[in-house]
Amino acid sequence: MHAVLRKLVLTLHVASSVGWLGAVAGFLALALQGLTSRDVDLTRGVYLAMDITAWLVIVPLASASLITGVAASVGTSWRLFRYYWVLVKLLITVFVTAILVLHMRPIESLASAAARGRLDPTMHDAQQLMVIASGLTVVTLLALTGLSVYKPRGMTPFSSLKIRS
Amino acid sequence: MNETTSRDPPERSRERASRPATPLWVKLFGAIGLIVLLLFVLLHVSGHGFGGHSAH
Repeated sequence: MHAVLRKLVLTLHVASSVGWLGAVAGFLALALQGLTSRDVDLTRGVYLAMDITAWLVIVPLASASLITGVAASVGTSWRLFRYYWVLVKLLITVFVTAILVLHMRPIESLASAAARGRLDPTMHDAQQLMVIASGLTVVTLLALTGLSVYKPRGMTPFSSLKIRS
Repeated sequence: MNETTSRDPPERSRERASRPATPLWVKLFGAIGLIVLLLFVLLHVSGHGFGGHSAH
């Protein structure tokens, strides 16, 4: 990959990954507010904002992080399967993105209930899950950021196969 | 795991010996990932997963 293009892809990858972490941290703050606040109007606003944030910020940033991450590793000498830290990052990003996209329903349910003004106690489980899921995601994304910065040693068995062939 | 057996051809034995060991941090990440995956499956099986909540 040409140096200019490589730096552009890397910039997009860093921006989308860090943006994803920041957006999920904001989502966690809203989820905590929604779970603990006794102000009905504030809680309704929180879940409507969470739905918008999830669809228009978190999902696009997660997808962009995955796509640019693959492009950045394939287009450089790091490759996708040569180093453990790249492979682990890829697997975690794919897992977290898939879980995020496949489980948007409870966010939508909370937002539609909030829009109708009917946030009843049966939704408490979903409200708790928002906090747990976004909290775990923040921890996971921090771990991914650490992997990118420290780049811990270790080459996968695929690397030796490639070198021999 | 890297032990050779009498049935292994010499090239295979050399290949196994030269194969880099999996780093400790990878094993740690794998163990944590497995625990998270198990918890996730357990949550779904017990009906407390992410998919079962509906406002309707």
